[in-house]
Amino acid sequence: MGKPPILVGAVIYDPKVALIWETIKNFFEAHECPMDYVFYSNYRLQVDALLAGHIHIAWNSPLAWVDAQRRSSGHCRAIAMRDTDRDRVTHILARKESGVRQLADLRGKTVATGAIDSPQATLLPLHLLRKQGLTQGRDFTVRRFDVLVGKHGDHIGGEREALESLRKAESDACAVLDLNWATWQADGTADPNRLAVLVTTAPYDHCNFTVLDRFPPEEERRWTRALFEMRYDNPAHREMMDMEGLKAWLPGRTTGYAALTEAAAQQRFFEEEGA
Amino acid sequence: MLFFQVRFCGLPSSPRGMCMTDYTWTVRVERVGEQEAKVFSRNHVFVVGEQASFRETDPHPSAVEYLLGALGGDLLRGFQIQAARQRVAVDALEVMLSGRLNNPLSHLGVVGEAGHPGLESIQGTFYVSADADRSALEEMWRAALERSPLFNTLRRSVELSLELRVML
Repeated sequence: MGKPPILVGAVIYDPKVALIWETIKNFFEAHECPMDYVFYSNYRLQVDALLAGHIHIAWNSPLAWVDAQRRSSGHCRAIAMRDTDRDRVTHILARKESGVRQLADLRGKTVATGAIDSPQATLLPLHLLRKQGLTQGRDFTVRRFDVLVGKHGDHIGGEREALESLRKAESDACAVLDLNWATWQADGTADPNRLAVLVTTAPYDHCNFTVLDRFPPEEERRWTRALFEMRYDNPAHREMMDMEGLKAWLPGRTTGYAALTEAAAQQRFFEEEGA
Repeated sequence: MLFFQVRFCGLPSSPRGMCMTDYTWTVRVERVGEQEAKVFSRNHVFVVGEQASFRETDPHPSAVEYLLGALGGDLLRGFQIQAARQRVAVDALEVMLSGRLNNPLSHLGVVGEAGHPGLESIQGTFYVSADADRSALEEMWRAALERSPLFNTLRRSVELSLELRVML
């Protein structure tokens, strides 16, 4: 019997995501750092499992990170993240011909967002509008696209439906993650000649690998050492890295979650969720 | 090694039906690698890969694909027998089948998922080009379904939706 594997939790909504984790598991086995994965249907269950010690590491959405910190009274560490998790922004888009050219023009209008628990497509953009003096319900109406709630906006369906609603003039603005905006312009889903960015959030960070403070530092070093050996220029690693959307794994940092922590508190997200 | 067995029922009318003989087909399945199993069936050998695969390509078909393939083969062969009985010349037969699990995430053991990993539905189209009118072909199709072992097994547990399409 070798060392017991380090258990890593992940939320999946598509069986194909399991293939990524199978590749990651094989990679860690090959680097003599056995790991196994446990899949969850939603982040609430995954954070429960992390706090209960059922898993050692959780691949957390930004909102799951905020939740884990909140429920552990700040006793979590972010040990690694993708290069693409750093400095993301959300754009609020409007149709060029609609006459909505500045934030004040959104008064009395409808803003389409993603799922209720999507940091990038709901919580953060609504927080930005609030800080700019626009309150949901009073100054504008939210048209929310609750696709796969519980998965914190991992599934882009809600965001895409919000964009579609803007395109069809059923809404006056919509919120999208910068990466999706770039992809949708490139693949023709969004027409940059007809849509314009009205406002952009400050940069924030996305997912991270979260552990509890009590996770042994030597185990953490062993695991992150193996993780950071993954190289985009190695063809054996590249396919998985492409599927997971990164070019390099980086150490975790927690400076990019302040706005989301504030947004969740201000929107009483966890109270509404009953947590 | 011969695995095909014949066994007599003992009673003229068994609870399973009116058969006088009860045939049992036996296969032996052996693990031959991390992700494959070899099936020995009478004088045949075939390899099964994953239970259900989500990859684009694999070295071997999955168990789910074998099941769909087996149903397709059963239907095709059954139709061919009916056509031969009616002395109808068949130019071409083809069947396209798609199966959906109730919840593939349950198969992957995702904590918190509802549902089950079993097949929920199978949809298919049976294409036939033959020297007969539509009503004759429909009658052959009906008879093929009626006598199909796999169709009559699966339809009891899976939502089966099969369509006959006559091609000119």
